[in-house]
Amino acid sequence: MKRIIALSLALVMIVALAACGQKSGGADSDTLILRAETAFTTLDPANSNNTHDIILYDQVYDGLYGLDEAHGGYYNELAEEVVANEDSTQYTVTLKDGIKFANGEPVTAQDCVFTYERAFQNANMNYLVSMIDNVEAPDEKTFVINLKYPYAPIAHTLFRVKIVSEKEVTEQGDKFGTIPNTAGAGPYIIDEFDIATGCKLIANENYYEGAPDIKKVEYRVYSDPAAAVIAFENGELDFYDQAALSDWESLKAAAGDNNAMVTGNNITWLGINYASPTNNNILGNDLVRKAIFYAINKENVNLAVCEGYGRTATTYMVPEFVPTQPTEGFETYDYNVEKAKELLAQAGYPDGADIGTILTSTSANSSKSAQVVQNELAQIGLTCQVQTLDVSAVVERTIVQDYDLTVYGDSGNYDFNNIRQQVHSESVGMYIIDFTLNDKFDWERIEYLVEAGAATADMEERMTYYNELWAMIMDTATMLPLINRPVAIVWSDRIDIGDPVPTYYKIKNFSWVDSAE
Amino acid sequence: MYRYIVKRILFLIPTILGVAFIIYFVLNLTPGNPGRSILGANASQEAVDQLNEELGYNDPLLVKYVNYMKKLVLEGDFGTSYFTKQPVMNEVLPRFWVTLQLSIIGIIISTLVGVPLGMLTAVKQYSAWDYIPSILAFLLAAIPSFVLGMVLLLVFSLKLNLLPSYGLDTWDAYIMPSLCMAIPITAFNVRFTKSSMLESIRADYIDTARAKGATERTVIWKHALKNALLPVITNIGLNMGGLIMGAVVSERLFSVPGIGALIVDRINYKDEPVIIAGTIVISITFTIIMLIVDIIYAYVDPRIKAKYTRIKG
Amino acid sequence: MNEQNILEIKDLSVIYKTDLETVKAVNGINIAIKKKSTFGLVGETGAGKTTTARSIIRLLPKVGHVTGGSIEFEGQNLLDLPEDEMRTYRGNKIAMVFQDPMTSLNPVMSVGDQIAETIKIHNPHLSKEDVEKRVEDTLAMVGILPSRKIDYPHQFSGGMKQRVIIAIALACEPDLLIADEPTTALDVTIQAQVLMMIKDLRDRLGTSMLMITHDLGIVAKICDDVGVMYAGEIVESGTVQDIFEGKNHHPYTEGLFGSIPDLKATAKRPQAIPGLMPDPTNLPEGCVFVERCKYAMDICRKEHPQLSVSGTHKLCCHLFDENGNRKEANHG
Repeated sequence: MKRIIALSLALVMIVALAACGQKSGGADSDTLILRAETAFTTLDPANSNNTHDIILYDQVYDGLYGLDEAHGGYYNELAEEVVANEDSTQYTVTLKDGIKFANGEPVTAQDCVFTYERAFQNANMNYLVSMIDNVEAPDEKTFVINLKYPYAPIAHTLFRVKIVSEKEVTEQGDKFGTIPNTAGAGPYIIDEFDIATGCKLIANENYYEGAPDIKKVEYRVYSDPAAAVIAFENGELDFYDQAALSDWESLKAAAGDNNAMVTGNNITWLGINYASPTNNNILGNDLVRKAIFYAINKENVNLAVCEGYGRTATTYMVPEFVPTQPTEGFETYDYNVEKAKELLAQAGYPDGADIGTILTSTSANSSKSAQVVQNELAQIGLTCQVQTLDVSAVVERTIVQDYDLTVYGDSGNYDFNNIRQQVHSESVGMYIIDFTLNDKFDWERIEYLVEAGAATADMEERMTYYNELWAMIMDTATMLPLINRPVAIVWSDRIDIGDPVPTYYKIKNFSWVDSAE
Repeated sequence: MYRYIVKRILFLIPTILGVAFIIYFVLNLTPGNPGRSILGANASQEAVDQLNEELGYNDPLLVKYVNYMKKLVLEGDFGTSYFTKQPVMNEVLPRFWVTLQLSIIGIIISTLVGVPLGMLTAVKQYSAWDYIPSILAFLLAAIPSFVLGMVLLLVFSLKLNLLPSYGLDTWDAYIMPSLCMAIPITAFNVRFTKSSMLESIRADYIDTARAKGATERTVIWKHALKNALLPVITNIGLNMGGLIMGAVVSERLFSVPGIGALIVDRINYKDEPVIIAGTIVISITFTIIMLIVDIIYAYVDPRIKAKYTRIKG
Repeated sequence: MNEQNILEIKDLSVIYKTDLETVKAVNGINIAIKKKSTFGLVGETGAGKTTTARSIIRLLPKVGHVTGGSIEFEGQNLLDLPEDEMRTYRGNKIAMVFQDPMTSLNPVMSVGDQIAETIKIHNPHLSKEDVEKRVEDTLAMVGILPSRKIDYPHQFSGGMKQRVIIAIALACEPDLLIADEPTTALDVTIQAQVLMMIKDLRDRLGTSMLMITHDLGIVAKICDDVGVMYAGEIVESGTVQDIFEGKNHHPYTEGLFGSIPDLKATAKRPQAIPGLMPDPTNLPEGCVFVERCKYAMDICRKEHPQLSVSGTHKLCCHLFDENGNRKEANHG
């Protein structure tokens, strides 16, 4: 009995002390605190394709180009000028004057050669550099990229391949990526890195554009979204992007004016394997596939996945971010249940049929979308199952065409050329619809259009190819874009974040709001 | 006694062998592979295959297992993580230490609060001193730990602004995660101690003690308590093992870099070396804890002590 | 109180009261135990013997209440004593030995410590060495090697455990020892040993004893006076000669003796008393034994029999008049 009293007193004392002790882990007045959803896997910019990691790399390393998500397009970062040859098989880059790495070494063309050759070795970078034959550095300021074939949309590669200091990377050897380094030329330097808890950045005072306003940055790993919401509402987080939409109302309330909901650069889409043997290749029937597309009310997907905050999509890529995405002149299969039923009856299934399984990943967005699709199809009598697997398992199956339907997500596309990933039989990695099967579609033409679009830098010419290409794809009734999810961002009133962007924000564009004393 | 301890420690060997085998076996059955998880959806199949080959993931189950065991026993090397390419122990040990700390604090709190409270409810059965703690214990035992954690976060971090919600930087950051882990165990301790105590009080030797003219106080504290505490000791050990293994919910919620979260995260990447090393470390710890509990038990209960100190010959 | 008696129970009634029902366990019994003698309280299970014993030492469970009567010990009514004073009697002047030796000892204390505890409670100023000496003496007294005082209960056999319990009870040389079926849980040969030891100690120390048993053999061996208890009442009492050799007996006593198997005669079945004890929550109005009595008469159902006294022999039955003479048979 006495022990209980003693203990309770002790506990009360502890809590009281905590209250008048140090300020509970809240924001240090000059450190910007951001949320990291998962731990950063590596500090080596060539070693990860994880969006979260890339956001970090964007603060610490500079590429030849930078990405301007807010206004579209790219801008020169380390490159002063990039000149293409006539048939887009060679690019000559002139580096800016006076640019240095954080370690003080000047950024030279040799470093660029080192960086790109390093990227050739790394499977993660393959999709960015597979078109490059070799790279050279004729002099300190000139860097030449020689391609295997004509390829116009090189800008994304110039953005994603971050230039690193040859000296330091070689010195760090195997350790590079696991410990802080000064091998980048970006506005911030990694001060501390813990693979479990996050990392701390400090401003690069010698950044060629001038030191950024915010001097200290801390990324904290909050794996639980509820904990992150509480942290934000508690003033422990300054910037919270990719907030869960179910928390949006309470976050908005806490953030006041400092909130933004921007269209995300992502797509959730439905793919149909027209060669699937299920139910006597019912999905090979064009009318059936079109019926499926007409039967889906994309607004319902929007409601289920993003509480209605998103928007329905008719294009694979998001036009705001992808100027080369065609926006008209193709089938959109707008929601029309009557038409769907008609087509289905025409196809010979007036009472509906079973169409197999919708394969999708465990991500909430994809699986919820799949369930809505399943429900919509049930309205016209088409029955199917939904199967959720880990995303890597889904990829394995789609690559070998082992599926009936799939709901898939994609993001981070900035040029329509990326459609190659989905439609070209020689594409590498993720690959869902194989247009070459059964001699059904004019896949040679599709692949010709893809290659032609990449081969020329002339925008008008590219658009003629792409317009035809996208219209062809939509005619095949194998890919149906569903929704674009929005990105919810909130920030504390200590900072001004400039123009909100969905993915690749740059902390160098943030600034402290000077408190009015 | 020493022979017994040595025997128990030797049991660790088949335990470790078994744990490693089971994990390889189970991971072998599940779909996915580290290559694809690490390189992402954009990588070519060849690159994925090559990476899997390099990591040794494609070897047959038994080969992987034997290689792993060989490296472990002969070189003391737990291997490198598929995911971070770092030596496994560099990641596992610091995080294990964090979870262990929280578990120890949790056990201490739950024992110091739960056991006396349980005794109180037994001694003052059917009074308010019994009803209130018992109902509380019942409720708290029923609440899932993540709900508990969220409530703690909401109240102490958000509303009262007393405690930090993130990590373990300051000493007061330890409070909520430990509480979140301790509270369900405390509730359990209250109920278990109560029932053990009630059983003890109704025993015949308590009659004998009273018939000797002993005061009620002596009867409870000296006679009933000693006997009631014996099974409670075993439970403390079991609970501690359970805490270490089940801390992942608290770790996630409070952003604590513990071993539970590590193992769960790496399962997604099929990072076999880390999963196995983490599980082995936890198994060893659990075995040692139970061993310690058994030794303590032997010292406290003379009936058990007799078993282990049999005179040879 | 009679100078010759060490304990006088007068008209004691005890109930167990729960929310559901009230059990009348003991109803107006009278017992007198003479100094240095042994009183045997006989009866079957549920008669109220243990309740009586616990009432004397005041260790009834929470639901037990004494509703009437007195228990006088050496001139003091024990029922009037405050609890802390009663404690000075327990283990000191009045000691009790319980029924099951296997569970009556604390398993985690050595037997020496358990004996020492009794001594220390009632002799707080005794030095450690003196206490230890007395422990050893007590152990020797019950026939256990004094060096075994460090051993734990589980290291003793059933019979030896009971000796330890007796040692605990006798450690402070009580004036009255209450033994509640002390040998019931032991096997027959050990029973005999322990009984002999009890008898021996009683003679040596001059302890008075209340021996509760259902075994008439034990009564014969060791008791001076006997009380036969049935359904909370003493239906017959007297000296051991009165009970064993007397002419008149209560029908229940007859039944008890009759149910002892005869070694010499051949019988297919033992002779039991038919029926069961009445429900203590719902006792009959007249004689408590009426349902099972082969001599039952009308009056037995209506009227509670009065006491019939003939010297030391007392009976409570309608068959006998106040002087212990059998009434005219009056069936009908």
